[in-house]
Amino acid sequence: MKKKKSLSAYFYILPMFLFFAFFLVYPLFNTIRISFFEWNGIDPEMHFVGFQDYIDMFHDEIFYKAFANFAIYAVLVIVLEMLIGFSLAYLMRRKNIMFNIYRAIIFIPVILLPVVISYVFTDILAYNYGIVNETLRALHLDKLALDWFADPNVALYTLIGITVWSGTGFAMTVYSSSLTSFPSELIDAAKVDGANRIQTVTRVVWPLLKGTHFSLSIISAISALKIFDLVFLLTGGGPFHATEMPSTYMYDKAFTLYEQGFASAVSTIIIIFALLVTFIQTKLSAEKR
Amino acid sequence: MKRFRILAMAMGVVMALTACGGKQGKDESDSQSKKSGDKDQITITYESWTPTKEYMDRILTAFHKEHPEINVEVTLHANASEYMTAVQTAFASGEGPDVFMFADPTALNQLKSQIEPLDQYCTDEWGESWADDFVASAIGDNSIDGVPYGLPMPTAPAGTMWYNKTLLDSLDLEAPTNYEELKKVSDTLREAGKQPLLIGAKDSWVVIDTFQTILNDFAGDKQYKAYNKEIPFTDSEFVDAFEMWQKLFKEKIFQDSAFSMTEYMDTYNQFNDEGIAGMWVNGAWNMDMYTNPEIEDSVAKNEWGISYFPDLNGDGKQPNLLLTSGGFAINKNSKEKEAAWELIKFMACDEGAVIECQRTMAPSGYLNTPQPSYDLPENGLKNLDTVNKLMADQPLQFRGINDPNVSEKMYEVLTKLAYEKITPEDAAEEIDAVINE
Repeated sequence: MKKKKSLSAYFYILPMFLFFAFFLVYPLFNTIRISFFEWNGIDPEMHFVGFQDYIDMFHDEIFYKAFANFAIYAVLVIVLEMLIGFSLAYLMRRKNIMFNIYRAIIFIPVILLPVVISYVFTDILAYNYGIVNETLRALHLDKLALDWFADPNVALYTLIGITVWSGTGFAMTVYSSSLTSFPSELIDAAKVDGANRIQTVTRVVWPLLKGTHFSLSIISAISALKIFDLVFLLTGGGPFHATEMPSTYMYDKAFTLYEQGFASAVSTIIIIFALLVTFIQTKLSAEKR
Repeated sequence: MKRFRILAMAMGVVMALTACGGKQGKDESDSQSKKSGDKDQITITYESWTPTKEYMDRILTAFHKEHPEINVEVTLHANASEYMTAVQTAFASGEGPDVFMFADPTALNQLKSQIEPLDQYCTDEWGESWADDFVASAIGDNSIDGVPYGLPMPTAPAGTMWYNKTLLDSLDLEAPTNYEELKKVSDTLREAGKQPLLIGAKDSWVVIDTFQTILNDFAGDKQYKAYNKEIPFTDSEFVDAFEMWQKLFKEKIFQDSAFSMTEYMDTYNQFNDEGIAGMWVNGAWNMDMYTNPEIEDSVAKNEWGISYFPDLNGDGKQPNLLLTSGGFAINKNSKEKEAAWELIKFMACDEGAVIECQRTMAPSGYLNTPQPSYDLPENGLKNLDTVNKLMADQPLQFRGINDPNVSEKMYEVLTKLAYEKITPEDAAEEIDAVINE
């Protein structure tokens, strides 16, 4: 009877398992398989080259540049989104109609499509006729009127700014929901113990939201690793790879240079990297608990 | 036991649904083979980035009159690179349209394994000497090792410079023909608060088009020998050309922030629509601004001109134009090759070609295509004559770099030069190294 029960359990998970196998496991292993071939992505013939694509990739300086850019991008985006999101959520934690309206407005960028965001910011930040530079010039702050997308020293930070603008609403919403269930007695107790507002936030509220920090940091890190659309639309990874990300690097290899095997090798490294980031964060979180 | 009964019923429902699905699929397939008069209805697919939807509809209306038995399902992409990504993915998954296009010989080489050779079709249609009826360079660009894989599409040359004559006249300027004049015109336009020479340098193709034109000015046709490894890319003429490219940015002849702007639509809008720039680097295909209803009023406000790119090395000779033809191709795995052949023939040689020539105002690659009539303003007709004269007066050079690695490196070094991150000598060496990799 017990054996029958366990068999039927397997049967019930079969549809989900098949879905998982076809749409996740198979493509994953197929990508890894292709990374051992030289293939232009179109021809039926593929030439086995072993680890050559990986060797070439590890000898390509743009590969390192892409991951260095990703590191800067990910760290700044995660930290800024969490800090700003938490600050906004905390400031607007009380029930108030205006706070609800503000929260809704701040959340709007989260639901905008990247193509809309890129269109809006291409206009706003245009060097010659963009509203930002025009305003700065009108205020005689010409030196601050930067070439936001075409200056290699600035472009990456422009992308970070836009990503933070579009993603902070999500972090704020997650913190808001965590703060809703936050025990107010703890804040009262801190006040009784003589803690000022800053101490209450930094030593009581912030540390007690570590579960939320952990979830947000994982989601943001994986999102950062997958970032493609905004970079592709706003800078295309340029100028001369100043905003190149692992995803745009992979796209370039696959669809501009027709090196599908190489692109699959990059893809494999991205997958391994994503698993590693998740593993480390999970480990750290478990240790803290 | 009850659980198994439920399970059996569920399986029954699934099987019934599957059976329904199968029946439905057959019906759909049958519906594609309904009789229309004496002929079976055939459906083929067409995928490309060109022409525009409006013109594709006109072409298909005309095609359907001639071939009522052939239905064409069309997928049009926003641009050639997006299109290439889509068809590459489709072919990789064993699918792909019956009829599709390639932009140039580089794309033809990439897609070759999916394309039906057309030599037998051409011979059957036009006889053994069929190639005589095509522009030789156009059919050459559509062939690999002498075998045609496509029928050429109407193609206009690159390497031209457009100018806003109304704006230049208002500043007492004329279209520049050499470096000194170019510098003077750019400076005057900047002083007047206008944009000088526009280039959408975020797009690699226009950067490479422009630099290939400069290379032809400085080094004749040596660049092609260098790509074939016959000579090194470090020769002094190449270094001089790189130096001139850098100078165009240093001396502020191109607009500021050129690398943040795309050719379509950033600079296109500034030049054609807003009319705030004096000059623009773009091919003769911009003749289609006269047929673009969205900017009709803006275009009518100004008088426009087109010329060779200025002679930058000062030898008194304007650089040659660049022309490479793409073409229409048949999927070698298509089940409806005859219908696909009728479509590409119609679009490259017959009435479809006439309609496309009217849109692009480019000449057809097929010499017997009926001459299209153009409903253009006087300025448009004048510029059409100018384009034909420019093409007739000087030889046309090959457009593009076949090796995508060299092409990508070229864009990279030209960007670095513009930002003064490398010297012209370094640029030449980097290109030479990639060619010989």
